Amino acid sequence: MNEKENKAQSDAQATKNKDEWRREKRGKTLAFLNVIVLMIVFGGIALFMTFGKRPNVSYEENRDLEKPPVFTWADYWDGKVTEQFAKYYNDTVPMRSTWKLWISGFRASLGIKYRGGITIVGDVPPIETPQSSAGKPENSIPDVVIPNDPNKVPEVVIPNADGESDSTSSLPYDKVPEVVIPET
Amino acid sequence: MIFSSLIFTYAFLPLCLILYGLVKPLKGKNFVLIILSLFFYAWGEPRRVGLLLISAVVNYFVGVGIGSVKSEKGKKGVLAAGLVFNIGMIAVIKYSGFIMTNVNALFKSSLPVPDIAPLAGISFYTFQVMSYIVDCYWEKIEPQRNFFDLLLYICLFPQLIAGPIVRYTTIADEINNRHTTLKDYSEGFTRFVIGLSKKVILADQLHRIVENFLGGNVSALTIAGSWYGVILYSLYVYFDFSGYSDMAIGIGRIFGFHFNENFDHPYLCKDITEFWQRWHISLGTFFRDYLLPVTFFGHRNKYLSLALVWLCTGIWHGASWNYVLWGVYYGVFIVIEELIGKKRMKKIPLVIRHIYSKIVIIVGFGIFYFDDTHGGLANLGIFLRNLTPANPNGWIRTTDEISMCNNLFLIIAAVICMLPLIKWFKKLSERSVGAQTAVAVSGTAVCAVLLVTSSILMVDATTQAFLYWHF
Repeated sequence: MNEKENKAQSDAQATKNKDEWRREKRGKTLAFLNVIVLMIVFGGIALFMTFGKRPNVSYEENRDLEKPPVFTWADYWDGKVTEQFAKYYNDTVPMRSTWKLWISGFRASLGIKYRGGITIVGDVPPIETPQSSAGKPENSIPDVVIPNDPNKVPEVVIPNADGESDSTSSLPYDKVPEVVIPET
Repeated sequence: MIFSSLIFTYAFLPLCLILYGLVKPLKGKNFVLIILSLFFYAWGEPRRVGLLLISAVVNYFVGVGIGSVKSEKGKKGVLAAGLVFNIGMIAVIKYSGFIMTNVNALFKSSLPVPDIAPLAGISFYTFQVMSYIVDCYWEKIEPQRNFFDLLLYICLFPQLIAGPIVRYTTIADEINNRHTTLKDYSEGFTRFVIGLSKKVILADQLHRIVENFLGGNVSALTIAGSWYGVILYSLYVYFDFSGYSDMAIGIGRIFGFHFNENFDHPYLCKDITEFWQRWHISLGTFFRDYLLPVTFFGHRNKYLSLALVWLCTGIWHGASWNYVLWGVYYGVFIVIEELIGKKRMKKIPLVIRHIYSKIVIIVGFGIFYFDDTHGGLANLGIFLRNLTPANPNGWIRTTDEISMCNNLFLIIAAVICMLPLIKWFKKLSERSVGAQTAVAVSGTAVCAVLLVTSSILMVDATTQAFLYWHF
C-alpha cells in the first residue's frame, strides 16, 4: 500500500514539475515575443522620428513651424536651447498633419454626441452667458449662428467687456453657453 | 524633459538603451547612467544640477561621518547637521517665498519676498537622501564609501523628478550587482507602455475637461458640474501620478533596478486609512518610518505624531495653504477612524464605507486643486459651496450634459482602468498553459496598440507636464 501511495505521490509530483517546467519555458518564449514586438514598434517609431522628413510649414494652421535652436552658452545655461530643441522636435514631427487629423478624430470619438448633435432649431431662445455683457440689457443673448452641418458646433459671438461684439469664437462643446428655453 | 514627450521616448530613451547596452562592465554602465541622469536633469535648466551635486556631496560626507564617528553624541551631531542642511535647502528653495508672504500679511510688514523658481524633483531627492542618512544613523545600512555609487542612487533619472521615493536599502545591492533578465526587459517595457498610456490616453484627456470646469469661472458651476469636474480631477491625478510611477518602475526594471510599488489601486479602498496605504505608498511609508517615531518632550504621543505626519504630508505637496488644509483634512479623518477602531469600522456595511471613502477622497482632491495658481482659498470656498444645494446655479445645465455625453467612453475607460485588471489577467493566465499563452499574446498586442496610440497623441503639443513634477 505504502509503495503504491509513494509511487502515486511521486507521479503527481513529476506531473506537477513537468507542468511547471512547461509553464516556465512557455513564459520565457512569451516574454521574448513581447520584447521583440515592443522593440520593433518602439524602434520603428524611433527610426521614423529620426530619419523621417520633417516639415517646416503647417498649411492647415497657416504658420511656419518651430526652427531648430542656435547654440550659445548663455542660452544653454538659461535652458533656452534645450527648450527650443524640444519645441522643434515636437512641432516638426514627420507627417504631422496626418497625426493631428487623427488626434482630432480620436478626441471626437471619446463619447457620444449630445442628443445626436445640434439641438437648437428655429428661433433662438435666450442664452445665459457666465459673464454679464456690459452695454446690453440683462438676459441679452450672444448671436448664435447655427450651421447646417450637424457635426459643427454653433458659432457664438460673445460681446466683450465694452459691449462690442468684436470677437467671434468657434467654441468646443464644453464651452457652449447655457441655452435656457422659456416655458410657454 | 517629460517622460510623456516624443523627445524623451524616441530620442533620449533609445540613446540611453544603446549606450547602456554598448558598455559591458557594470561600473561602466553605472557611469553611463550617472552622465545620462545628470543630462536628463539639466534639460531645461542646467543650473539645477549644481544643487543636486552639492546635496550629493554633503550627504555623502554626512553618511561617511556617521560611519566614522565612534561616540553616540558625535553621530547624533553629524545626523542633525545633515538634516538641518536638507530641510534648510528645501525650506529656502520651496517655502521661503510662501513663508515671507505670510509673515508680511500677518505683521503688515514689507520684508522682501524671495522669488526662487521651483526646482523639479527637490522634494523627492531630498527625502531620499534624508532616508539614507537616517538609515546610516540607525545602522540599518553601511554608509556608502564610493561617492559615485551614492550619486547614482540619488540622481538615477527614472525616479529623480517625481518618485517613487526609493530607499537606499531597496537598490543598495543592485548598484554593484545587477543583471537584467528577459523577464525584466519584458515586464519593464510593458510597464513603461502602460504608464505612458495612462498619462497620454487617459490623464491628459481628462485634464482638458477638468480645466474647462474647475479652471474656468468656478462661481458659475452647477452642483453637477462641480462634482463632475472634481471626480474627473481625482481620476486625472491618479492616472497622471500612477502613470509616472509605472514608467519609472518600468525604466528601472529595464536597467535592472527593482523599485517598490507606489500605488495599489487606491480607489478600491474602504476607508481613508486604507486609501493612504494604497496611494503614494513611498511617501506614506517614509513618514510612517521616519516621522511617526518622533517623541514629544521625551514621550510618544500617537495623536500628536499623527498630526505632525499629516501636516507634513500637506506641506510636502507645496507652498500653498490649500495643501496644508488638505493634509489636516486627511489627518482629521484618520484620527476619527483611529478613534472608532478597526473592528468597529469593519462592522459598518461595505457599501457605506465605500461611499464614505470616495466622497472624502473626491472632496479632498477639490481642496488639492485650488492652490494659489487656481485662485487659492477664495475659489476653494466657492467651490465647496457649489458642491452643496446652497449652489445658486442650480443642479445641472446643458453644458454639463454635453460634456458628460461627449466624454462618456473616456470616463467609462478611466473607471475600468482603475480596477486591478492586470492582476485579474495574471490570475487567469495561471489556470492553464493555454490561458497563459492567450493572455500573454493578447497583452503584447494591446501594448503595441497602446504604444502607437500614445505616440500619436504625444504629437499634440498641449501634452501636460506631470502634476507631481511641481512637488
